Amino acid sequence: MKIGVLALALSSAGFALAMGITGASPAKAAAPGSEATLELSVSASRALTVRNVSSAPVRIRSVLQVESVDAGAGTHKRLAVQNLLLRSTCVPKPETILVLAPGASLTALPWTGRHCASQCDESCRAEAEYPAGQYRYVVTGESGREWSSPLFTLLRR
Amino acid sequence: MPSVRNARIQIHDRPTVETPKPDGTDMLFRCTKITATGTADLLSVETATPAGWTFGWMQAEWCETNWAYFRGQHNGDGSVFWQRGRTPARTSRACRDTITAGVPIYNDVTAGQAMNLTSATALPASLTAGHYDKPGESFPLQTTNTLTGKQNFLREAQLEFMFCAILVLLSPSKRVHQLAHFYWNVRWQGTFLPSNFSDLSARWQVTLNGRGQGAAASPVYQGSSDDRRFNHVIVGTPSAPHCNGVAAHAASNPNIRQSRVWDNFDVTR
Repeated sequence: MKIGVLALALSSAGFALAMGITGASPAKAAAPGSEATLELSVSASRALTVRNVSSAPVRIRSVLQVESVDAGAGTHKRLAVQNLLLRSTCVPKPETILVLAPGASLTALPWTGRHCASQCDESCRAEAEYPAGQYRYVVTGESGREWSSPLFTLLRR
Repeated sequence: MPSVRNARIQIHDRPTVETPKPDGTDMLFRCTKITATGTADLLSVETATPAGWTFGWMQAEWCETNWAYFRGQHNGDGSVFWQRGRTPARTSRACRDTITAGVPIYNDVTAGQAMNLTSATALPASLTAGHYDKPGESFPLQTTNTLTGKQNFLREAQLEFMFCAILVLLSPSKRVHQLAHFYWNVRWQGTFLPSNFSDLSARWQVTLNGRGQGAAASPVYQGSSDDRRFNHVIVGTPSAPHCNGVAAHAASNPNIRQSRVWDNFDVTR
């Protein structure tokens, strides 16, 4: 299994910018449990930022998932969106497992709301657009533990 | 056999192709969306209830052209030809075009694109299903010619995606009843030249091949397509090749030919 290490030097602004590393944004969601490990926030442009708020490296899968959320009914449905990854640039694609150093964060390219070209241009023959509504990202740890982001809104296009 | 009346397809948005444009490290080939609505009145089914029947769309991509020619700044830098439309890069000529691999219905993930009937569905029933697609492709702006060790730059490309969209009623045993269909396609052909070979983010000259670029949608035909070029991916095995998977494989594994000079390659193979 390929592993990419984000050995992040937070004092290096240039490196941080190149890796899509940003400061925290207003809407945040910490993982449930006695010890918060990852803090997830979503910008107005639907960009997800994952921050390691623990004192140890965290290993997470680069595949990013999306759920549609019906807050009124209290239900959610996981979508089968393709090509959605924790990546700040389209190329190169990230390794299967990312290691987020303590205090480090990673901002992913926002979800386009599409099924195939979900972040970047892909070789798509079948394509779908998801409807306007509320969604959330789900980040998965290497062990399968999941962290959900705050809700964000996909506007009608 | 189910009894169906008034099967209709209305095409709302006909696709148009956009002029290829560089974006980052790639030349993008995009088109506008195609949308359609299929409707029909289902009067009866041969099963006890309508449970398990599905009304929606199937789509085949029955032919694809997909190649690019790269050449160096100078004749001695060589040239490279990428073929994505032939084996082994393209693993299947025709494929079943679906959002989800291995399923028959084109779009089983977003609302309004198919109707899953239940035992509570009262017959006769008016059925409606929307259709949407927006295919796209890209080529890198440059590739390394391993014979010369020089960068070769995207010089020409041709892409043609040929589809047939079919309004269907699917039985619980997955038997396909084709109600109406139409053909459509998107095509790009052009030549490309960077204004600055050492800065590919600078302007590119894009020259379209007039009739090589366009899009079309046929009239709507009633009944089955019964087209032997792709019938097997519509009514055939459940494991029909999945177009997005076929395209992704070809994009990642093109058939590559190289030359030490600006060569002419046979684009038909």
